Amino acid sequence: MNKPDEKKSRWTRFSAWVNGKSVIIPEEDLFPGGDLRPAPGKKCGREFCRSAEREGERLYSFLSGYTFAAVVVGVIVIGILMATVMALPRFGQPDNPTNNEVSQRYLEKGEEETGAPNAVSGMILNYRGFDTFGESCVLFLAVSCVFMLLLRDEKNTHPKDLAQIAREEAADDSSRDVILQQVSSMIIPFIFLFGIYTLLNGHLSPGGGFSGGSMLGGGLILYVAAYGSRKIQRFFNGKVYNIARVCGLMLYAILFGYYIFTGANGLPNHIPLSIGGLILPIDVAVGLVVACTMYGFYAMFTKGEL
Amino acid sequence: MRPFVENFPFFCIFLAMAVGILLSVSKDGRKAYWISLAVTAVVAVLSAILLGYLMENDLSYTYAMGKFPAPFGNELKVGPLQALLSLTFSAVMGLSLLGGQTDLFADVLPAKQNLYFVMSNLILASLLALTYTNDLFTGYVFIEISTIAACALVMAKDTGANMMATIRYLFMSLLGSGLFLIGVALLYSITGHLLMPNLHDSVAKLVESGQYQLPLTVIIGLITVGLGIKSAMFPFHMWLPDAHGSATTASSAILSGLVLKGYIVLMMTLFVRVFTLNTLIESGIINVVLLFGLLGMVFGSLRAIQQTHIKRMLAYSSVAQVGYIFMGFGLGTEAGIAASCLHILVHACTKPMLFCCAGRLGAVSGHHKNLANMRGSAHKDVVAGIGFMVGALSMIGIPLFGGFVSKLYFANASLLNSQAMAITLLVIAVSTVLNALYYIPAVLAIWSRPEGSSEHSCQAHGKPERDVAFTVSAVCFILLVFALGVFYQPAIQAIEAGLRLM
Repeated sequence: MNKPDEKKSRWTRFSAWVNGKSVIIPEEDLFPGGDLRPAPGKKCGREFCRSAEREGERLYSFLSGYTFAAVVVGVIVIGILMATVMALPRFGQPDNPTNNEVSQRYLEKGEEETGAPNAVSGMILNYRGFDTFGESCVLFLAVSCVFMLLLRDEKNTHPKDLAQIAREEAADDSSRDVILQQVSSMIIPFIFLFGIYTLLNGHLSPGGGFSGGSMLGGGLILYVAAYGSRKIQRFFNGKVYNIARVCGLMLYAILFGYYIFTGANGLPNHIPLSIGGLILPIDVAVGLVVACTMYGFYAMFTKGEL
Repeated sequence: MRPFVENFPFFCIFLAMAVGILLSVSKDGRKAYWISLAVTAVVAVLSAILLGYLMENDLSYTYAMGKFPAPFGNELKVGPLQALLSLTFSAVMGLSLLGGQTDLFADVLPAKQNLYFVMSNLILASLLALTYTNDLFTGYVFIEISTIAACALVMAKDTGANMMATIRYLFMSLLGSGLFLIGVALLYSITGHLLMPNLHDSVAKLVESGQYQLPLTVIIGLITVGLGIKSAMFPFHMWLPDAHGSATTASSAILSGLVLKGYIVLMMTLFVRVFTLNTLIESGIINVVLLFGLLGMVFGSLRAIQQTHIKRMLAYSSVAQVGYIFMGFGLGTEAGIAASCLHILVHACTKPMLFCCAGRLGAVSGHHKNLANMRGSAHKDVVAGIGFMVGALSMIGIPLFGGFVSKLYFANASLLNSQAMAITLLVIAVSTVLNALYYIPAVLAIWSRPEGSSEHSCQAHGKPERDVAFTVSAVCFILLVFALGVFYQPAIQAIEAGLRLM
């Protein structure tokens, strides 16, 4: 037991510190602005209020210094980057370092080697398809993260909120917006048609998986907004959603894995170059992933479920 | 037709990615967990076979990711160092998941457990890709993957403190990615290449001709700072203690043992393969790296001393250990980089063990994370206590433990650099004392029984349940740390061969 006068002696301080009692700076659970409010139902003790006050002061002094420092650092970084950009090669000059044998080969031999007249598709989906596979995984991961955060569960949803959402949905279902429904019934088929067209012609003309997929995703979002989530669940529920995006990515992984394995080992691959070769199926796969990503974000942020 | 064993890096990356994608449809978290463990085991075995093959033939090779050779397509470059790192990463990943198993299933809701393993598998894939890649843009893509997945690992616990930590981590991490991407774009516009060997030639030509000197310096700075923010280089480490201190045990272990290392390895690859040490020394960036490393070693430890929350203490200790690694880069010699690589291995084995043991000690003392409340907890789970002690002694740098060897190599490497020798040796000594100052009290606290309590009061809480998975992982970790401390010669040989064949 510490007596008050002993408390100041170095040895007690030291032993208290060894024991893990906070003497130097009471720093545990130091999240400025974090969970400062006590849990509901608990009374705010005097000790707690004082620490909350101190936290507030700390946060305030931190923020006032922070703004100043952020402006100074920002200005310095902008200055450095501006100076750098001034020293870069001028845009669009023929003898720039970027105009080398790599881009030359993409443009000149792209169609012959990948089967795609659209050089951009040929480059991102065939020459550098591994990077694009990574990018598709980024989209997949992003939507999985949002699932992890927002998918309704007992931790982030109160029963009251659920009841509220159910009431709102019932009200929405009984009085749908007629103008929106009529217009979407005319537009949505064309959106889907154009999306599919862009998707399937990615190797021939500008477009491809990313743009076509986002059109499909946009169409789905418009459909949900106009007709409600109950309607879309008849053909596009969580199960179909998961199957679509996993099938899309796995199609990409398997096709490109086969392509890498044969290419790296010098084996002949049996992928025809005539109808877009590797690019057409990969465009479809990417399209599925992108459409599911767009729709997944919308569904998560509006309802928290598919 | 190349030997079949040379396909293993590609198999490992694709296996981890495909399993990660497929696990998103699994309903059962337990099954997903066992599948993920199996993946880490398979990757570890394949990497070990590959390492044996590469060491035996003393070779490194490039592996075209597709029909078209680089610079037209993507490419991997595989050498002994890469194989050794991927062996360590996969083994440590598996052991961390094993050691944090109980906490993981308690902290993450059952419906979302499969998503956790999606993230862990994709982190493994991105670590492997960051290690093996020979292409700068592939590096960036996998940096993105590991950024998102790492934030999800912090977020998985879903409490207020975790959300704050995740948001902070996400912003800092995105800032790092952004700076790195600007660096890559600028580098592409002055060289016209993304493939590392071609970049190396172009950069060498630019340095020789004196063209684009300012952009080149800025690019090296942007890439160093970008990757430095993501790997908690000293002044940019503010996000780390919250993120690593508040996450669930397995996440803390994976984040500070492995995710930081992925970025550091990429930086090391860039320093050696693209910019070369001479360019770095001339541009002066190397001194900045050295300075940040030295400051990190001291200030990380000073902050760790102030902590009473055991996981935050370990998190600040990570800042100090990362400082050691950057200090090794900053010496600007081959020996310094070799020492850093060894320290990457040592820290990757030791810190996850410390986090797992800390999680277990907290669990047996009633889910307290404060050292004051964890007194005597080592008696309730002796393996966890021994594991924590071994980890602490290794981090301090006691002979026979892994940490000693890497510190010895750091000291040896610093002797070769006449300018920085004195200050580096001094800081290593100071930092070692500081390490001891927070690890020894922590070890004393967990082994000493609370005042005025005897055997009964310890028993009063009831005997804690046995945790077989944790015990297995802790024993493996302890053996790994001893293996690195006693039989370090093979690791050193692989690192030296790897750097030679870089």
